[in-house]
Amino acid sequence: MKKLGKKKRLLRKGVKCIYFQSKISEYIDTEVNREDQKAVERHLKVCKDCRREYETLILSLQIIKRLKESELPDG
Amino acid sequence: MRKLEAIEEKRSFLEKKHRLEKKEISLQSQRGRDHFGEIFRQEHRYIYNLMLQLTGNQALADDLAQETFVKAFEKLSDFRRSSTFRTWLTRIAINLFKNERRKSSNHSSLILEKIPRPESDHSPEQFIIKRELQWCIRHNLRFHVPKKYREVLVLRDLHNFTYKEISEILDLPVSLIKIRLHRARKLFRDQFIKGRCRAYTDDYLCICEGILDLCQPSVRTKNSDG
Repeated sequence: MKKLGKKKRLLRKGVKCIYFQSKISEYIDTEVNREDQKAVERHLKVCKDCRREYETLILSLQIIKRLKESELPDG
Repeated sequence: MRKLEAIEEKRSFLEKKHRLEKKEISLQSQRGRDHFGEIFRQEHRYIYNLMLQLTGNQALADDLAQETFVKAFEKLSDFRRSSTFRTWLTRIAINLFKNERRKSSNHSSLILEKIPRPESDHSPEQFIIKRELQWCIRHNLRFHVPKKYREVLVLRDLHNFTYKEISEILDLPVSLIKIRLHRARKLFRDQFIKGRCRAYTDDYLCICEGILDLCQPSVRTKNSDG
């Protein structure tokens, strides 16, 4: 197989990352199908940038949920 | 003989069912008010909280919550049991919120509305930090996340509606809900963690420093550099 140049490798990685990053929210909400779920997990293991994207999104979710503490209780 | 008994049994069952259905209908027409009062008590806090999270303004949230119930009472006969009552009520509330947007966008102004400073006098330090953090979250949602994204974010992350329920409430396809939710979360995160909000109100300066303590060390370093 022909070896890709550095630029092309980066481009290929970029396209992959764009795809997986668009799936991250669904993955967090467990709304992806099983196949995608496994693919996202595999990608998160190897890609530092996407893992970071995932971790910061989880963090901001925890932050936004703090608004619940200021709510009036139900009932 | 057995056949006759069976027919008789079936007829009495059908009559019973018919009476029950009739009772259910009369519940909506005659005892509707009582029934509605009960629902009002159950759901009022939920609708008020939802409106507060969407508008970030207590007075407006109170008005919109009341309007929601007035509208719901008028349209009670339109309620079909295909969705839950809460979903139906949320749909009315969100529509009112959207109309409010139209009204307020006519009088749009660059000047930020005055937001009351958290009640920090004579309170323990932790309480102040918590209140300020909540103030910052509300402020970020209100001024840095556009309303069409905010709706989805609040419904999903604060009220745990499923994608399908949100698509019913907003009358949009699930695919669009997915895209909006992802963008909303990214917008909120970028404002809150990567960026620094420096919005002034009359008596309060928001620099979102409180949030930095919650972030991972790498994020903190990145922020303090920039």
